[in-house]
Amino acid sequence: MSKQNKDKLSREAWLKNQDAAGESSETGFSREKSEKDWEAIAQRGRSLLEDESAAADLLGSIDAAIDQQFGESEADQPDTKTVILPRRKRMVWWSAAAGLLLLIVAAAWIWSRGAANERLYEQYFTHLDNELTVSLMGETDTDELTQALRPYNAHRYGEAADRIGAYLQKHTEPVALRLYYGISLLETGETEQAIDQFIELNNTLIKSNYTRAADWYLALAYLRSGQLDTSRTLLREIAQSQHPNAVQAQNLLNAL
Amino acid sequence: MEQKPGQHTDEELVHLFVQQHNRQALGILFKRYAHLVLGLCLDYLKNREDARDAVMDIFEKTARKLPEQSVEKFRPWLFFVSRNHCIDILRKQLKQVPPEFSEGLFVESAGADRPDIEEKRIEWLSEALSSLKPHQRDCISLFYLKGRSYEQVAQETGYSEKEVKSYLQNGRRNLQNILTRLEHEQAK
Repeated sequence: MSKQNKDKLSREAWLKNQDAAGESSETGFSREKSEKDWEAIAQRGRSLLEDESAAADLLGSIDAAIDQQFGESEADQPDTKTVILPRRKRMVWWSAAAGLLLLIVAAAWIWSRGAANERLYEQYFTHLDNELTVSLMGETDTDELTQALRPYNAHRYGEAADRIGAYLQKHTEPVALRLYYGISLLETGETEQAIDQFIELNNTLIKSNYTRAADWYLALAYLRSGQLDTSRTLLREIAQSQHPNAVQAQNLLNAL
Repeated sequence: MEQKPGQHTDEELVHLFVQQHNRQALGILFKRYAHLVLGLCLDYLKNREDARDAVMDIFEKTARKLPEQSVEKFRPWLFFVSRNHCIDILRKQLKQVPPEFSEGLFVESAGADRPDIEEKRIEWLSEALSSLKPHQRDCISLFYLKGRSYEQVAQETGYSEKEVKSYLQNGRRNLQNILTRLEHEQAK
């Protein structure tokens, strides 16, 4: 049995709360926790979940987060770098590559502009600390909100966008949450959706630290989406005001 | 015969990540161990949301540490990274629990300045919590470790407040008995 299959079996046994022999697991008390006991420890942890479906949901959400952060990693996916192709297939590939090269050259100048914008975006984007959880302490639903913001606090933006988005589907408040949702979307590459969130926040809230931050990230979102004129206009407004990002806005304007 | 990525050994995948910056290799490795790391985190933290976040934090930590360290055997290394991460979380939670919880449970370490609780005692607490009856364990975890009120514990578990108070009282006593037994066994 390959290592891959062995691990798969172990994973399935874990989901079913069974040991390697397929028996229902009731792990005994083990005081010495070492790597050799790992399977037993993991099975005891698994027994805290009510059923296989709950275990599959939880593990599935972790798989999805891994895919978001590390790329799709289906174990059976062929490694295109190492597979040896037959000669005829290689000829087809070379022809396709030649055609592609022409397209690449034609599109190079567009790409170079986009790449320059992306470099500027990466240079100027910084994480904004979440102040919402602290400022709302003592109010209802803060625990659910705290859970939703956890991936954001850990800079796991893809996961944060999913969780905050799910929270906002059930709750309309706090509106300021849209700032962190927008930032998460922005970092995930969902720039148009991010722009919508920043605009909605600015249309709903009176001028505050949240709206000022939304202005800055909105300018970055326009930059990332290639809407340079709109980005410049907004950056000028920021640079000429008492905005916390005024200096950065001016520097970014100069670089654009 | 060339190998598919999923057929690589752990150490080969580590090599692909460290030497060739192949993040997909790391993704394969993490999926290979996700159930074990998740099970371990559940066992220590007794809470699915905390466990889920801990797993992702552990994987992030792993991605940062691997290029800095020479890891010969990935599995035991990941086990200790995961275990230590969970112990750190529990240690932070225990620093915030009310003194009446730790008094009697952690006699030697529950000083006025609330010093760090020894690692082995955190291990014991995790073990002892696992051996409590589920309703007692859930109430103890939520009330003492997560800082919920009686009312919130009642809401989350579906028990009445009176039941919650009873489970907390009995659970705490049982916890104390188990910890004392563990300490005696260790001393022998």
